[in-house]
Amino acid sequence: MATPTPTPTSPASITASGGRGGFLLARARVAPGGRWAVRAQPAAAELVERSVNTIRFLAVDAVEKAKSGHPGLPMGCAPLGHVLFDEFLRFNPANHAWFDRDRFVLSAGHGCMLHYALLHLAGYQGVTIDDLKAFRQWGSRTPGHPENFETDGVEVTTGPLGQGFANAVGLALAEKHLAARFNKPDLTVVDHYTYVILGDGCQMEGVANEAASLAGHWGLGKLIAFYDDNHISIDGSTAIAFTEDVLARYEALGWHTIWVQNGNTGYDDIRAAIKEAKEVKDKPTLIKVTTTIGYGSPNKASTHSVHGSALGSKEVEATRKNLSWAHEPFHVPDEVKRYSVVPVELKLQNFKVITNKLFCCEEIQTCSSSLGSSSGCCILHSV
Amino acid sequence: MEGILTEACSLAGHWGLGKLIVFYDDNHISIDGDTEIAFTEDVSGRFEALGWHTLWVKNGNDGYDEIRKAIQEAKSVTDKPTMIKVTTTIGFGSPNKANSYAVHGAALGTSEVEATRANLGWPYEPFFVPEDVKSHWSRHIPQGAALEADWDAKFAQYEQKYPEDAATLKSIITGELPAGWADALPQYTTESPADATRNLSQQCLNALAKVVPGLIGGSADLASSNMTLLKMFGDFQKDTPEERNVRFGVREHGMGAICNGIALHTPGLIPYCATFFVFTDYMRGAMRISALSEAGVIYVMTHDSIGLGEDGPTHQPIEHLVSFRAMPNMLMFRPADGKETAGAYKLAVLNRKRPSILALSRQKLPHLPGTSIEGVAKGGYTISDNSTDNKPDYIIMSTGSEVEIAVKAAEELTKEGKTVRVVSFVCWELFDEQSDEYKESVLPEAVTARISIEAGSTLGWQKYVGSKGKTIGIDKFGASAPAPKIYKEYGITAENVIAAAKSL
Repeated sequence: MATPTPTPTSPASITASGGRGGFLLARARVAPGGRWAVRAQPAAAELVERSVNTIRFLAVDAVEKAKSGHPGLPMGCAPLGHVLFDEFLRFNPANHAWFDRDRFVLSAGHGCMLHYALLHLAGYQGVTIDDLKAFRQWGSRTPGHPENFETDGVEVTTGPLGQGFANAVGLALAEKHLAARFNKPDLTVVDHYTYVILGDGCQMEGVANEAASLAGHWGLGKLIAFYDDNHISIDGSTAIAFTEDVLARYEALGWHTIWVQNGNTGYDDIRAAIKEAKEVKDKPTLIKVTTTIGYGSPNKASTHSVHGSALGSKEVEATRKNLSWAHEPFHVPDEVKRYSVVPVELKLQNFKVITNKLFCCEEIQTCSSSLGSSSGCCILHSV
Repeated sequence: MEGILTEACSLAGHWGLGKLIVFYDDNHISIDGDTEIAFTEDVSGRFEALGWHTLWVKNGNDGYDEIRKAIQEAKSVTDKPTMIKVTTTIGFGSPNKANSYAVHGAALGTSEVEATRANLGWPYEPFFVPEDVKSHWSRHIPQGAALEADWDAKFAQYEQKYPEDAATLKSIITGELPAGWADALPQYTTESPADATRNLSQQCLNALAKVVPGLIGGSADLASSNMTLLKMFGDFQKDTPEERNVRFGVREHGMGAICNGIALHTPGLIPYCATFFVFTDYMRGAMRISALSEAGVIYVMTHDSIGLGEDGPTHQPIEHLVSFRAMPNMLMFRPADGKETAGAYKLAVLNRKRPSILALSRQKLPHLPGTSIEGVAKGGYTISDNSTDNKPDYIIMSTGSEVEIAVKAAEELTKEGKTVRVVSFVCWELFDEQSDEYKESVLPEAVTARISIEAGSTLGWQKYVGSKGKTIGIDKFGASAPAPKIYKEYGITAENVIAAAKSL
């Protein structure tokens, strides 16, 4: 994303219904040709790598500090998480409850440090750096498994495997239902995707098959599931008890399936898969992403021990060396910070959220008329 | 459509159960109507993805040769289970109701019964079995006796050639346990190293594995947390089916039902299965069937309370203990230390017609003076008492990880000159079966100053605590934090027990 430094010709002319002068830009992106920076372009490869490692180390450091938690999935799914949140997910960090946001569920809820790190980078006020440091502590907003009533940005409570995936089917059902009831030929007011990350454990649970069968039957084309294929579960390699052909099962259930064979560094593969998934309108899509659990940890990557225990200070050191991450715990490099949240200061009283496409300001008229459902639009808050 | 089916079938495929043959009655109807309404997946495709061989009998109504051929083919496939989809007409023969959901679960009604008789050319009165049909079927009686006689002869040979194995197999067939088997259980004392009951459970399982030939089981991908690996055996897999550690994967409901199958196969097979106590929610259906069908499955359930700490409320049981105390024919054990864990296992193994659940701690617990294996058999028993005439000032009752809290509180109150009885209520069902005299000796009617403490729902404790006592427990969801912090914040402490006692 190129720097979305807000330089509208006259801020005062950008009004929203009920605007009170002075405005705050939380995230800006427009269709090509628009006045604002184009959001859909990914950052330079080097910046992406730094962002991904930021995510990894926020997770590693939080688990280490708590001496409890699950570092493996966050380390392995950081690339997927980065691409999804930074380049595809449509949301407003200042309003986690914006109606037409994309929904995201981490069905493998134990990997919640991945989600918290992403929410933090994205600028959700409910997940500050202090919240990350208070991971798994009494009274914190970052409990050991995601709780929707505790943390803004978390849609559903997960932890027991398979539940989140089934919740995601429900979220996608809601979108499709409301879209059918309320969208008009000339105005689309319900238009968002539901994304879910699930792992081997979720896949084994019967509830996931039940929900997947229904999602296929209902043709929930805006449901996109990522299967974190890391071949590891608590008791070891999945070869021990889980040797079915998952993609074939999903095809039998009426899903479209894609396989990203390199989920560790294949950023373009991930991007292409999500694009392809979004183009399939009549079926839900399962994207199998092959990753290394605990990616980056020289001695524990790819083992079940990195699934659910802190790395330990020695291994944290070794991982920092291995990934050339010289920073202290909980450090977010400036360029990553700047890139993801602009501006840093937020005024949150009495803001009004303007949903895209409907109430775009005059300055960005091109935005509202030329948009398809998958490109971005401006989201302005007036304070 | 049920998820449990995919769980079980995924395992059957993984294990290559070649002698399992499933017939899928493909009649396109369920209670709410045509399966078009909610079930349009490619079932055979799904089974193939799960590693099954699949066949399709397109005419299940009168394609008898097709059916025969399919079964023959299924039997010849020895390395995969087979699913034979048999397309039938539900209610075949009923001229007006065949192929409709109305015929699924309601009597036809007299006029339709008439019409069906006319349709199929069946002029007979109700319950009539024609002579030729009767005589055709009657050959199974001598045939069956001959089959068993052949087997008896073969087994007699087996007994001659392999006497040791024959004796073991015989004990599995009859369910008779080897003499003195219970002596193999570890003998704990107060000097034994303090340990979590999940670890003590592993010691008991491994001790029993040496002497109970039918013990077999495993965990839903939590063997290293539930501590359920039998160290002297390997994994039951496709190529090593003689081994006894079963790896179920994250499939709790399938696991419970598979264990029901193992238990009901032969009296001497004693299956155990394990997961986190909270995930009984995922297999309750199978557990209820264990209780209803008198299958003595042993449910090893660890991480049984807020004591598990940071994983938080999604993982911390609250209502689970009372929910299983409410389930008929289910033994709900919550042992406090080594002796009680051994006692629970002894009873679980003895109770072949009642399933047992053992709720076990993640956290380390001390071995307490006064606990005993014999006490566990009584379900609720006194572990300490400094009163003299069955009239203590206070009765403090508890289970599992909170018994040590009860003991601490009793010590404090005793220092202040009170007489206090501590009761461990390790298994409510067994206590309720005791004589009135025994119950009176533990909970004398005259003593109303009673306090209970348990890290779970207070519901149900009133029956032992009475209306004049106090229950201490947790009636809300847990929290994500280190365990000692949660105990303190939720008031599961000796201080609270003492305060409650003094308020009575």
